[in-house]
Order: sequence, then C-alpha cells, then structure tokens
Amino acid sequence: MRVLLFLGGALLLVGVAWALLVAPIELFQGAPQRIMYVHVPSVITAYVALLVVFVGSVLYLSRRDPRWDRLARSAAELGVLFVSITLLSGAIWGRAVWGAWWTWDARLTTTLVLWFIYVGYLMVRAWAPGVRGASAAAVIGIVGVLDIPVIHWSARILRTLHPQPTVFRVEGPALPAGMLIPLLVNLAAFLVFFSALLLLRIGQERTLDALSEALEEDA
Amino acid sequence: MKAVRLLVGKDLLLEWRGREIVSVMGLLALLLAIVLGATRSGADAAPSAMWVTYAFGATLGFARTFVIERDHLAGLLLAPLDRGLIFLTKALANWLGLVVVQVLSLPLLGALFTEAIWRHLPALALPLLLGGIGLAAVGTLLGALVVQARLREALLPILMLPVVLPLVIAAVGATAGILEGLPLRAVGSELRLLLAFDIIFVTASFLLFEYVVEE
Amino acid sequence: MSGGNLPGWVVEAHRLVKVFDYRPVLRGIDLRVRPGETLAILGANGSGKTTLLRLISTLLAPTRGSLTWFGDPSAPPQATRRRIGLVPHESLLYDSLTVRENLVFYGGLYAVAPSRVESVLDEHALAPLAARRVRVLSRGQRQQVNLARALLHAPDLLILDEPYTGLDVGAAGRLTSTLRACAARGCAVILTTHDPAGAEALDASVAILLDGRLTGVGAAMGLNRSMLCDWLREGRR
Repeated sequence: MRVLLFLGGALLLVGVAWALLVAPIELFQGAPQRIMYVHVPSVITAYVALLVVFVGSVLYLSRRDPRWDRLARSAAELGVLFVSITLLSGAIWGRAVWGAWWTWDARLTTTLVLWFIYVGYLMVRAWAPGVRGASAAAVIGIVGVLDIPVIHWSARILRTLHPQPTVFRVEGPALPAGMLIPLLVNLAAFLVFFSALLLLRIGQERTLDALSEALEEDA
Repeated sequence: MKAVRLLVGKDLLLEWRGREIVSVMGLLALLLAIVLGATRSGADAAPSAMWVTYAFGATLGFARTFVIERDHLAGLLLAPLDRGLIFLTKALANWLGLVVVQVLSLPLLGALFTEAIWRHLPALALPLLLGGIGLAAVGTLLGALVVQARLREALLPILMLPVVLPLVIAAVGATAGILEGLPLRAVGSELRLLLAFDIIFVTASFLLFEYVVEE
Repeated sequence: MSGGNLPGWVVEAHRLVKVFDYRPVLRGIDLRVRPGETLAILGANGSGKTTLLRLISTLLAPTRGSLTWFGDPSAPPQATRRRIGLVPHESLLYDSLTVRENLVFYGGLYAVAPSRVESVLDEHALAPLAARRVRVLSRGQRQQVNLARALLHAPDLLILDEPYTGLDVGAAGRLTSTLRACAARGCAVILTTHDPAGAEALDASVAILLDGRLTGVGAAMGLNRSMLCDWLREGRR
C-alpha cells in the first residue's frame, strides 16, 4: 500500500507539472482549460468509487461478510471526496470559460445527485453504525447506483450545454496527443491514489472492528 | 393473492380508522401548493408546483406507514409470507394513499395555478399514475429502511429525493407539455422514462425489501 | 450432543451463537425440545432470553451454529413458520381494530378460515370482547387475545416471552391451564420467565440462561429455590 501511495504521489507530481508547464494551451479557452487535467480524472475516479460501492454492497447483502461492508463504506468516503473535487473544479472551469458557475445539463445534474447519494449513504452509516446500518447502507448503495443512469437519461431530456465527450467517443479520443498523454498520466495518478487511500481506509476500519470485537469479548 | 387482499385491506382499514397518513400527506401537499402558488402562480409554475408537492408529501407520509407498523412488523414476518409480498402490499397501500392526495389536490391546484389542469385531466392521468407508482415504490422501500434501521425520520427526504429526481423531472416535463395542449405523443420520451423508472424501481425495491426488514 | 438431527425433536439448537455488533449475546446454546414438552427458560434481565426466543421463532438468524425445526434442516422457511406460534413481549395487535378483526387478519395470514376464528374466540372465552377495539382492553385481556392469535393455526411449537409478567392470579391461572392443554395436545411450549413458581405449575423442564449459555436443564420440581434465586440475582458466578 505504501508503494501505491508513493507511486500515486509521484505520478501526480509528474502529471501536474506536465499539465501546467508542458502541455499546449488550448486555443479558445486559454489557461483555465488546464483544469481539465484535474476535473476529468476526478470524475472518472468518483464513478469508479461508485462501482466499488455497488460491488461491495451487493456482495455484503449476499454474503454478509463484514469485509465487503468495509470496502463499500471506505469507497463511499472517497467517493464524496472525488465528487466534491469534480464539482468544484467543474464550477471554476465553467465560470472561467462559459461565465456560469452551474448549468442544468445531464452530466452536471447526475454528478450533483451522485454527491447526495454518497452523502445519504454516509449519513445512514453515521446514524446507524455497525451491523444494523450496514444492510441499510448497502441498500442505499444499490438503489443509488441504479438511479444514476436514470438521472442521466432524465437530465438529457432537458438540455445539454456540457462539452461533448472528447475522450470517450466511439471514434477514439479527439484530444491532440499533447493533451491526451498528460491527461492519462493524471488519470493514472488519481486512480492509483484512490486505490492507495482505499486500502488505507479499509485497513483502518479493519483495525477498528477488530478492536471493538476484542473489547466486547472481554466484557 | 388472498394474502394481498388481506394485507392491503388491513392497511386500508387501519388508515380509515386513524386517517393519519392521508391527512398528514394531504394537508402538507395543500400547504405546499398554497405557498408555492402565493409566490408564483400561473400556468408555467403549475407543473413543478404539482410535483414538488407530491414528492415532498410522499416523503413525509411514507415514513409514517412503517412507524405505525414498527412493533407489528414481527407479526407479519412470523407469518408464512413472502417478504416481497409484504413490500408489494405496503407499496400498494401507500400508492392508494398518494392517489387520494393527488385527486384531492387537483381542484386546489387548478384554482391556484391554471384551469388547464382540469381541462386536460384525462391526459394528465398518465403522468399522475406513473409518477405516483414510482414515488410509492421508492418511498415504501426507503421508508421501511429508515424505520427498521432506527434512523431519524428526517433522513427519508434526504435519501428519497435524489433517487426520485429523474421521476420528478420527467413528470414535470410531461405535465408541462400536456398543459400546453400537446398530444401525448409529444411527451413520449418523458412518459417512457417514467415507465422505465417504475419498472426498475418496483423490481429493485421488491428484491431489496427483505434485506431491509430482516435483522 | 451429537451432530445429527433425529426426527421427533421439535426444535434443536446446536452451538447457537448470536453476536450483535461485536457484542456476543448468546455464546453457544445447545437445546432440544420434544413434542408435548414444556421448557421454561429462566434468566436475569438482559441475559439474552428474548434474543434466544427470536432465534427459535425464525425472526432472527444465528451468527453461528445451527437451528433445526421438526427434524428437517432443509424445510422452506414458510413451512416452518406455519407450525410456529409466538407470543412476544410486545402486543402484536392493532389498537384501532377490534379483537375479531385482528384475529381474522392474522388467521388469514395462516390460511385460517373466519369460522375457525369464531371457535377459537369461544375456546378462549373471548366472545364477549370480540367486537371491542384492542385499545380499550386491559393488559391481561390483550395477553389473552395475543395467545389466541398465536394458537389460531394450531402450531406445533408455541413460544412465549415473559407471558406471566403483569398478570393477576386469575389470569395467570388461566394461562397455565391453556399452556398445559396445549402441551397435552402434543404442542411443544417454550417460555421465558422470571419466576420459578410458574415453571413448577406447568410441570416444565427448566433451563437457566447465564452469561449467554444455558445451564442446568432439569425438572422444575425439586429445584432448590433459594439457589436459583441467588443465581439469578447475582448474574455471574
């Protein structure tokens, strides 16, 4: 795990430096466009975290093994973090380039709701700690994940202002290589960092659970 | 099927004797409509006022049904009943309560916002129906969750509203279109979304319910 | 305690463990009850009596260990539940419904016809109360109705949680004779109680729940009363 932390930190340093100093400046948007190197990786990581929460929740409900619960709740904590980074960086970028802090297009709306789903999950855990809340939170996790595509669908019916996908397109990424590579480096950095933090958090929770178990046994 | 009739009958009978849920939901809905109407009335404000009212009314009413049931749930769990069946009957009872609120609110909404509501009632029935079912399904699952996990009732709106947001968006869109006089075909994408939402979440809630009530 | 499950045991528990949030409430319960047997479980408050009953009545799942009903480990849960009746500590009756409405409802869940409900009402001398709302009944009357509710479907295993609490002498006597009649019909009865005297009247075997384990299963008659009280009072040995 420590290896991952160092690797993540190193990648991040390289990635940020590359993004700020080396990567070309985009024609229309100027310097603020560099926020993309933080914004895009963080949104991808946030959704990866959601996937982890989903897997952990489903496996917890079917196997009742506390390890899956620890996985799910640690991922949810990190999920909130990365969604918050996404929303903030997105808002700053939007203000700088479009003049608006917020719009109601599909992807923003979906990501905002994702934030609330994570927060709801964590509130359930906070107010019903232990096994009692574990099943409840797992249900929230599953319902939340099912909701995300539906939200996206509904918001798309409304309107779309967000830049169209330039990386995840059927034809292949449309970013020039000069930008794509630092983006991928940063993405790797974020994901490695996420994994490291996840393992750290799970380890902490495992220790806490073992401590509680030992204390109760003696009582 | 006999069990369904039995369970729903019991819930309706209890509600009739106590009239607690419908009155709470109904009064809240009416108050919300009035508050929203006082600030901005007129035809364009109508759809969102309507659905905000139903969504919030639902979040308050649906926790109550399980609070009432709290001590009695053991009796249902002891019986040789499929847990999913308990969910369906509860959701059905909740939905019927919501329908009553919807019906009662229509005169007031028409008076406060726009008479177009009354004129287009047959067409409006479709989003009202589909939206109500979705709210009932999610509300029943999450209402049971909040009560069974001994969480504060205030948590239900926080959990429920993000989940039903797409339903509200689609319902408002469909309602707005219908009130403008568009044919149902024109709001087809919104109606399709409502239907999909209902199918997804009725199924998911049915399957997840047993994890919510078992200890 | 062998690992096999003989047909003939109404319920058999083997090394039953229940842990709530790392707090072990039951640390390994071994239990076997025959048809027609009455078992009284004594224990101080908080000793886990209710948890044990909820496990035996299928409301809770064990953390570890096995629990088998009617000698059939692979029976579907619905079939098992059909043969069990529980009278928990809290009343399962709906306050705003009448006695009859409550019994018809619960009976219906077990596929019991309304006509049978009427005969049960008569059997338990509840006919005069049948049309009253449960809200107005006294504690003892509610207890009677709850008992009738649990017996509607003629269960093979009847479980009662502290049924004698708060009952006057007359009501307690009626309860005892009802339970003895059940046992005589072949139903197994498991109850928890604070009071050893009730167990004696039921001609029950007695077990003591202490520190999450069951000890001292034996006939109620001839139990050393004062030793029992000391045990219960002190909690830990």
